[in-house]
Amino acid sequence: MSGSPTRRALLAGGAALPLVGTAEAQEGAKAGLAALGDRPLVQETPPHLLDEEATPAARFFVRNNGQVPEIPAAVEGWRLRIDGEVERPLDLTLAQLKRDFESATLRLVIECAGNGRRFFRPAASGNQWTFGGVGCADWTGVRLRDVLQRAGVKRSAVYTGHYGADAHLSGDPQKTAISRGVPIAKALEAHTLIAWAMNGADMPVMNGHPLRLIVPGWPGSCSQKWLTRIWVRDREHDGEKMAQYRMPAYPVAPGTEVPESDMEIIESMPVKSLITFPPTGARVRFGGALDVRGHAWSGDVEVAHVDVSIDFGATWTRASLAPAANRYAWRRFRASVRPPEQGYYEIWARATDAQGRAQPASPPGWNPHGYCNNQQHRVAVFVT
Amino acid sequence: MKRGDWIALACAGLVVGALAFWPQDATREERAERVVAMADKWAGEIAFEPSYDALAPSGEALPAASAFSPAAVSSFDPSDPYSGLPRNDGYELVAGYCSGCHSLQIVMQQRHDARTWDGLLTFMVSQGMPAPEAAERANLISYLSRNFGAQPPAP
Ligand code: HEC
Repeated sequence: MSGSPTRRALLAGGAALPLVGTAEAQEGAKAGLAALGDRPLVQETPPHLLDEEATPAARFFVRNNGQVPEIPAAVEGWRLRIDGEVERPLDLTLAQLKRDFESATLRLVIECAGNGRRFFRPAASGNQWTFGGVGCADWTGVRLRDVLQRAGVKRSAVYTGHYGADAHLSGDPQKTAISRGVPIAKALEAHTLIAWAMNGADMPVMNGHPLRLIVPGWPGSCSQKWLTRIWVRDREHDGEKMAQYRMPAYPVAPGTEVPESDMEIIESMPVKSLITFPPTGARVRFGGALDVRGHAWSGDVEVAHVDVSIDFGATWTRASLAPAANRYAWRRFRASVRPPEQGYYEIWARATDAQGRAQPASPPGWNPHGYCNNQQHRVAVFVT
Repeated sequence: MKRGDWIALACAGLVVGALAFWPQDATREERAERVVAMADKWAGEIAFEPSYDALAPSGEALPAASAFSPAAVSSFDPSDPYSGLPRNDGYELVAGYCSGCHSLQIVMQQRHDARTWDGLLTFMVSQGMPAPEAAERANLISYLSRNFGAQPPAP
């Protein structure tokens, strides 16, 4: 993929534009998902395709920040370095990770912090995600905690810095596509994984094969793909895009220009839910009960309950909520509603977390980069 | 009470609230001032999001192909040599400058005023885009805010 801006075309009067890379970048694109970007590939999943308990690899959303790396055929030699504020820096192969540490399989949600960005007004820049920048799969790997403890975390350790094999979009080797990190306490949580498998198989290259982090409940950008290094820092990490994934420290009026000093790093994500059945636009026969189902999830605070409305939020019906497969897995909700007459209905779903915070009906606090929109999902149905 | 009184009361409430709850550090007063400035600049009405915006049909390419989407005004078209850019003054410049690192899809799904486009150009230069000279920069911003402005023309 050629990364250089098309200066040549400019000099040539812009006549013959080499719009390079489009065809190659489509490689790995998933059928049925909506493309927000073809180069780099960014795809979201229509909500009705997220109906399964564990999201199949073929439907798991894609968010690439840089150029997809070449993955060697023999991935057991893939290397991961742990260095910085540790007693014994480690240089591990994937084979060693699998052999020397206890493995774990957990069902964990990953959600892009920009999911829902499209509904902010004025528009926030970036990929205009609607609802489908989220998925929940069974991830197999080792606990980051175990690896960090093997390396011996020093008292001076404050934060992690994550690095992957994807090159910057410009192709400039001096630049990094993305390098996020988390406070040591989050890195040491039992559900933070270094994963090599998704739903019992290799994960798609577009989702980070052969090795990625899973930092559940926090912005998806913390879950570095194509993981090659974890740098344990003695201060807050300052890698590429650490400055971007931030929200104002106090609520601001829509469109406000917020000084950098007033922006804070996003940590735990807000409570959210998605209606996965019926699909929007569905026609259902009048008379019977209408079964509604979907998933609810949250960041570090658990989901408490889900309510469903078919009258634009005037009245709500409590949904049943299945137990989570494990902490940070999404939970299946189900409700049965009875549309009183024929007509156009919207089904709205509203999850509430254990601290009593519910999803708002319209986008919550506008913020310059359009993060953390957990507004209620709605589907339209016609009762005929 | 008159409308002005209500606004004054709301401002006072915000400031008192801010002073009571914010961290006791040096930035506290600056932030309180910014909130007052924000209140002063407020347009006086909440911009409600049209509810149908959240109802894009399932299974279709989003957001470009949605009939409800402002992005439908001029959508990304990979089969077009200029990716579907509207053909008015500046499109070749935008295609030339903006399709090297990423496709124009990320550009064409934005809706921004000139100030925000200007900021994005600065961001792009920091990412390695050759800095356009002043006249070119003005052309780029003019094209982008004309065709992908905060208020796009009706289709
Ligand atoms: C030297 C490489 C390069 C060039 C040339 C370039 N960009 Fe970008 N652009 C980037 C990178 C890197 C990103 C971040 C990508 C990501 O987050 O996926 C980006 C992201 C964007 C975004 C999304 C911003 C956001 O807030 O997430 C917009 C809009 C954009 N570019 C517009 C432009 C425009 C307009 C031009 C031409 C004037 C341009 N780009 C040229 C590298 C470039």
